[in-house]
Amino acid sequence: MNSKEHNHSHDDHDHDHDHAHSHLPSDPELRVKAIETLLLSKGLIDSATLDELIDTYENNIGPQNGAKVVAKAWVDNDYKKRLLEDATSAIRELSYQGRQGENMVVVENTPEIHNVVVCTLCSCYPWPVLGIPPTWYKSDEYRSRTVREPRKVLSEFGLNLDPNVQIKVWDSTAELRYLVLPMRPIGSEDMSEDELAKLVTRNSMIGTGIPEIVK
Amino acid sequence: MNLKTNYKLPFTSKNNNQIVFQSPWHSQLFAITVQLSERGNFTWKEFVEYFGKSLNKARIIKQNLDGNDDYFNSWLLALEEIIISKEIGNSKILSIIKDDWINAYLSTPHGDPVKIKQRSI
Repeated sequence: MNSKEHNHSHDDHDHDHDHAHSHLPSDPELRVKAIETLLLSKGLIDSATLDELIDTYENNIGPQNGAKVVAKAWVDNDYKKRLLEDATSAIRELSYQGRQGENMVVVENTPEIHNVVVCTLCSCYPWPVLGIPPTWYKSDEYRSRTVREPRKVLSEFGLNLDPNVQIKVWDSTAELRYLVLPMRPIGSEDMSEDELAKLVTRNSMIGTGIPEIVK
Repeated sequence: MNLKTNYKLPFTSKNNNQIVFQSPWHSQLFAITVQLSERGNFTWKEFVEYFGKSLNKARIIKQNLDGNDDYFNSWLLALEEIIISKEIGNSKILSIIKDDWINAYLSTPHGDPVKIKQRSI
């Protein structure tokens, strides 16, 4: 590499010759920065709220919330009834509400029916109880194949259902979001609500997994 | 869409731990969009309509979009389009500010904070 610093005496300055200047971000990064600069200058957004939003979804809101809803439904039949009748209100009882959780529907797995949730349009997902969707939920493969061949997709998650079990696929939208109430695992009869919540994985509430007791 | 029978979905761990955002620009884009919507500039339903269209456009060029950069590139296009359509900004000003950032990166010594000059917008 040329040891000389940038020579700004010519107009067609080629920046490949040296890395003395800052690393140039990718095109999408620059476009996001342009949007952010524009909106900040117009006072339409503020940096503190942006940071708070990111922190909230990276650290505070996630599948652990949904797991508490499921565990409560497992130990409290009245709560389970309310959850299946009016999921939005029942979930609000645990203080999980708001953004992308305004209209929730909970679908219950039974020995005969296994539910699985997808968003065929984009990636609609119940943020208050599950947080931000995982990468695979947002992929075309999951979004298109789950509708066409759900049993095969579930088997690729390691979930091989009995052929007699019917699979129901629910398409979440911007207005209606689904959460699966998985079956309580056999062998969990003596567990407390807190212990039960630890068995409930994100995938089991989307329907691509089931809660399992790790021996 | 061609079905790739041997395709393995990018399944991550089965537990609840995950990296929420794979890149800082993904999280920044997410937070900007949520805040702009919550301040009444557009409804989330409106955004989702733009986003769905933008994903469909991306599929003309590339089949089987991943849920990572592909997904957020489409999200970015949707946000740009809704900003222009709602007359919050226009493509010319976005392009000018982007160029300001490029020039700032190329003229700021490595290690120094990169800033752009204030521009009346």
